[in-house]
Amino acid sequence: MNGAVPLAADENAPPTDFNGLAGDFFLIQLGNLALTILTLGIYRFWGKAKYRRYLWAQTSLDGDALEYRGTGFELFIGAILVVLLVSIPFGLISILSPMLIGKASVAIFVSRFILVVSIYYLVAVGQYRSWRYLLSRTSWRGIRSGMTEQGFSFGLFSFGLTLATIFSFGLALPWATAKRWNRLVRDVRIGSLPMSAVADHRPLWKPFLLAWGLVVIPMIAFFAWFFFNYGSMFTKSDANPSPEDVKQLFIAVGILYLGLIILGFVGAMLFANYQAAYLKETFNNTRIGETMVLRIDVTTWEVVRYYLGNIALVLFTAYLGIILMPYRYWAFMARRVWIDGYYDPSTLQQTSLSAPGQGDGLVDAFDVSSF
Amino acid sequence: MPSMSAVFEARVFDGRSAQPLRVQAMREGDTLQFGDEAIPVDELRRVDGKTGLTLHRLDLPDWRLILPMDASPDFRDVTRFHATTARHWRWIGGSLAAVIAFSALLWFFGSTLLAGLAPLVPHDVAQGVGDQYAEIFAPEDRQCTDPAGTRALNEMVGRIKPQGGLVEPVRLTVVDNDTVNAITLPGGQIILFRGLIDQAQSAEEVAGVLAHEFGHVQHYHGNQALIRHFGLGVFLEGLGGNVGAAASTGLFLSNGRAAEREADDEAIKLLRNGDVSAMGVSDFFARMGGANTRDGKPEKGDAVDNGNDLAALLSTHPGDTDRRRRFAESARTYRATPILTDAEWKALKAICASRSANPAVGPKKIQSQI
Repeated sequence: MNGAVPLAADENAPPTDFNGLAGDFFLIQLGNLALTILTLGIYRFWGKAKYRRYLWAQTSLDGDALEYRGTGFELFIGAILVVLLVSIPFGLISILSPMLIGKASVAIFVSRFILVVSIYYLVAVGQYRSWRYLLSRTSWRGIRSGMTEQGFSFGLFSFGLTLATIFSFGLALPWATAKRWNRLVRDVRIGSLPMSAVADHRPLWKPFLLAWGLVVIPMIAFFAWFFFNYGSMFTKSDANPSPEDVKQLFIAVGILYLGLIILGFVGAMLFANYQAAYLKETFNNTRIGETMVLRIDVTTWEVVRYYLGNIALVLFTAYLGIILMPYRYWAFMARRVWIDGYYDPSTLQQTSLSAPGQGDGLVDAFDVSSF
Repeated sequence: MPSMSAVFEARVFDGRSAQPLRVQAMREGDTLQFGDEAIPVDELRRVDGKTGLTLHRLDLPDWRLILPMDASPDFRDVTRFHATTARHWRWIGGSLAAVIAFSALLWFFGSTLLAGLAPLVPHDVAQGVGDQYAEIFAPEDRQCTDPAGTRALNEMVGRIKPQGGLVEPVRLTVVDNDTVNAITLPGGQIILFRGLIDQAQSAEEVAGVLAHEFGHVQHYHGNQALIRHFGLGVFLEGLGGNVGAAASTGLFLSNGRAAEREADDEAIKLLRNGDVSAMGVSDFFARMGGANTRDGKPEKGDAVDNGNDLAALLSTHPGDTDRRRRFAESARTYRATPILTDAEWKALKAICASRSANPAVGPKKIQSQI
């Protein structure tokens, strides 16, 4: 037998490829759906591990597929922990607090406020922990990834950004999202290689202000017009509305919904423009190690088609199409993200980070994960 | 297995670095051979990719050996990494059996279990939840407090309340609202809508409805709804998303009607003990069964049902004929005396003539304490 021969150093950065088929994914998800229903939902976690395994396996770097190494059992444990540590305590607090500290008091307001605030915080922690979990369960050529922390300090950081966004009526969003991305990426390790990002908020302002101005201002105008014309209907304290009143009320509510749907649609399309700018700014300014840079090739029109496709897929399939969403998200990204530069394979060493023991239950519980 | 296979160009990743080692690998008997190493195939797992075959080692989870596609036939007998093994099938079968057994248990014994657990919910907890709904259905400025009407209502309550007293303290509130309905909330809160008093043609009709609500109280139906919602519902929702929620609702679907029947039975008993004619409720059902709104359009009486079946009364479902008949049959078995005088009935009808908009009247005073 020959001895082992090391390959040459300083290769080009590994090219990415995605070979998934929506049909294969759909069949996997149909099976998952059937078993989920049969087991009253408990199979869901194993189904998720299964479809993730498929998505990862169809995605390759330099010809070798990514591996998803998470299991359904981990996700199940993650969900149980969230039920025990978050859902049940929060539920009990919100039910019991009115009894313990009296109704309509300042204390009630304060306790509700604290609950809402901690949910915002936990969503941010969950986002970090979801990255941490997914990276720790992703490997390529045997090399795993990870995040350096547990996510609690990121939670505070992200919560601060959320507050800034809220108090600026959304205007701080470009600044906050760029900051958040940089902070999140800072903690990523691909094997032994650190990632870093220097996304700037300035290029995001033009598309953002365009979307904000063309949606938020018309929306305020619409609400003003609506309440000027129909507002009295909702404040009138008549215990015995006549049928004519009821009819007027239905018309008013119909106009309200129609207005919101039209504005929401226009908003989504304008937001696609911002989303494309956001993806380009964040990915294109993200490095792996010293020598590799991410690149995303995406246009506004592609994001618009992605949104429209999602809407059509859900509307025209009586919601069944929703099971394809993880595929659509993953495929959209995997077909557009590239790695530029070069690398020396011998510098990509195994990570020394410890992996979390359980799955990403927190984001799952708040329903904010994409796949 | 062939004792010796062809030799393949393979790459090994040792799990410590992404640097590949190019090796010549081959299958020899029950081992994989490459370099100086020989690994039993029992300790390997296979993952089939589009371009090659990846072998994993059980003892080194990060180790990989990647073979070209044409090596696949020689390693076909290696266990697939994500194969559904007999152990998995036992788990799947066991889980399915557990789910079926659990569902069957809830289906057959769920109501018994609920009936046993419901009295254990502390009154304060139940009332706290009930209060939150009461604020929606009976806001303070809509509560009816006419003194004469309240006296008449108390007179009525005195006649029909259980001899041994109610199982928990009850608060009865009349609300100025057109809805023809009455509801019992957890924690013994009964809300009577003015629409029901308006539609009633005799005091006995109102008394019958009230007796039915007392029936809900006596059987802790409000607490049962609480347990159903917060106990099982929250648990299954947390675990299983929407499917779990649907399942928890579905499992107890049959329970709503059973509760109504229990409340009816209790009402029949209470009316008989108080010498109040049960014919009133029967008449009331008969009228409500058809068109029951002012403009003649049928309207479901469970508009305030909340989806949780918080012991709503008078939903005009097809079972009404049967319910009517049972009250009527009971009415024929005893001699009744009028529950209210004409003057008291008039006063009750006018209970909403004055509302509690007067801020001097606190919430405690405006509700009849029973």
